[in-house]
Amino acid sequence: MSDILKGLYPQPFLNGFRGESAVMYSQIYIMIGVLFLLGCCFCGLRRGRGLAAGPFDPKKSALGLVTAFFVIITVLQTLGHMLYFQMQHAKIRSLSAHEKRSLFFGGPYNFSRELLRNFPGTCRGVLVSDLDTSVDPGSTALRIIAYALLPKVNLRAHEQTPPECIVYFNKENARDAVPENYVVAYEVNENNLLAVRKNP
Amino acid sequence: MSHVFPLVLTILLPLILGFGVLNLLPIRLPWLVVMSVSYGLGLGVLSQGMLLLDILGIGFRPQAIILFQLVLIVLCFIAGMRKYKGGKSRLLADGDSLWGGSFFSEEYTGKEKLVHALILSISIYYVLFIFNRAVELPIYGWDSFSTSLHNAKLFYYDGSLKNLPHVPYPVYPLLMPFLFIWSSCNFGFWEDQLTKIFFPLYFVTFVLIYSHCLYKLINRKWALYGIFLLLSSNLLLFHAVMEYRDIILLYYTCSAVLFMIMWRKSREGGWLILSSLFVGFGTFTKVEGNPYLVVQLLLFMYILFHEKSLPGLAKTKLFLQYAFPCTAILLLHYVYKMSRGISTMAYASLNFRNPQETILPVMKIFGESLFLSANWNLTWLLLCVSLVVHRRKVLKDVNLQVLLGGLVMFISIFLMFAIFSSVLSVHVNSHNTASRLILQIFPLATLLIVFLNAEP
Repeated sequence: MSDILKGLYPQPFLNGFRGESAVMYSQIYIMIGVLFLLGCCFCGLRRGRGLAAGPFDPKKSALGLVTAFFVIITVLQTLGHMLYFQMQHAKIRSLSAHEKRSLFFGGPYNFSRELLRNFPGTCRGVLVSDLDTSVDPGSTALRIIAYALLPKVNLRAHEQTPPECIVYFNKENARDAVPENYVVAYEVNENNLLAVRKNP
Repeated sequence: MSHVFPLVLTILLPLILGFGVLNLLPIRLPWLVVMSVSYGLGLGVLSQGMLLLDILGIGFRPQAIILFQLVLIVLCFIAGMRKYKGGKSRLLADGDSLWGGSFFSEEYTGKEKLVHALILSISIYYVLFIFNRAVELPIYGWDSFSTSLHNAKLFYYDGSLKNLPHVPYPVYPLLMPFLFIWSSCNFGFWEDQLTKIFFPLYFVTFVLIYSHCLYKLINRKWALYGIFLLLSSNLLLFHAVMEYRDIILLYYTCSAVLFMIMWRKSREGGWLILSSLFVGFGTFTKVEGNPYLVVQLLLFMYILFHEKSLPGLAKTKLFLQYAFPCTAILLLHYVYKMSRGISTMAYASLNFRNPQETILPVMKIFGESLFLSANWNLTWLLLCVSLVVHRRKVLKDVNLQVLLGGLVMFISIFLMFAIFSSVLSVHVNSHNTASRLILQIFPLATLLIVFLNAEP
């Protein structure tokens, strides 16, 4: 039962429900097809024996069959939905707004929050990281940090001028990478810090 | 408690604005539908107003946005005074309700009442769930913190669109960023959790509009079955609680199609104006809204073509009346962006590659998204079987032809973009984008199923 519920209500992703569902739905289509063929065969046999086929209309039966499966799936996926979100709700109900954000966004959010608390200024900057920011997880990290650091640090929306600050995230020995005309404004740890230009 | 007043103001003021505008239109509706339409209409008008405020150099000062709405509300109510009779707006239809009666009245058998109770229970559960869930979570959608809300947050702190040319994806329409800016103006700080209330409200108001139209076009029982079909989609319910623009585009696009069909039935001019405005607001919600505008115009041309009782001149006039509001909204936005030096043609560039590399993979992805994901239950199979069983109905009924034509055209647009657009092909060639594109027009499929299977 648990597998069926997971197939009909798999782990939701932002853009769709897949996972186990492809197999589950393939099986459902096969079941519908087999039941429909069995219905046809049964009526054919009855007719062959000279008996009335009964109220069997292939088209309407197909419609009825799909509708029946539709209703069953809806009820089951509602149960799957209830179970999934009950577990989710239990995880987050006692958390504060920041704790929830921390749970969803993880390290990049915690880093940004600490920077925001300790950096008094504002600047237009860039992110430097050992992570490749054109693919995940670097791509998501860049976006989380850029969103969370607004309005103090603007990482993604400014003219291409020399940056006023550089945010180092997941950069090994970040201090060594800071250019000469920049100074460390706040250091979270050796791999994560913010450096600002000396004379912006 | 301190959050209640800003939240109420955020929703209530645009709602009253929408009511004021709706009150000017020749249309009569039950109060719940008035609220549902006013909600989307008010937020659409508000978003256009915020764009105008920025164009005028006023920016997003809370007082300016509130004053803009208050002035517009007063003007609308002064202009609408002639519609008042005995202190009551003539917009509100006398004695008419959302579904025209109870689902448990004597006209239904015991079995039917049981089915109705089951559907209503599931519906109530989902409505409670989406409201609770939406405001329980902060934003977490990748696209939100990556583009729309990142940009909105920047504009909010800038107090204007001065950084628009430098933000990620500046060509993206601005309705959703404006909603968050408006809400944050009321809160006095950037608020991205409670503001998510916009999304379940868009969803619930759409369900109310959708079910009322079904009740008017078919009957009460099928209106409820229509809701059941709609709520059986996992992805739709999931998107009702998160901050993606697809649910907003769904509200505007699918309501616009429904309003066109309602106009065919009632001939109340208000439906057409509403439909056109909603198509326009759709273009201000997502880039996909632009090709949808073309589809809607084609659908309306088709409807007019079948209106044998109307003379050619009247049809031309009606078409121009329909095309003007939506095109004006689209043009305002695009002319503004071009004036800011933002390229608006990125999505129009074509890329002709080997069809085997594009057509087959794209068709495969769409096929899998439609039939092998848990997004839509068996809706698409049910639609296919219904079409086979009731194919003769399609030939006779213009409403069905409009819905089917609309669905085919909307899906064709996705496929064409996926195959030929040099920008979108990268994104659309994935299950992720395909699912969300289908989501935007999903209610048309459930409407078709209801129209095909409903008893005359």
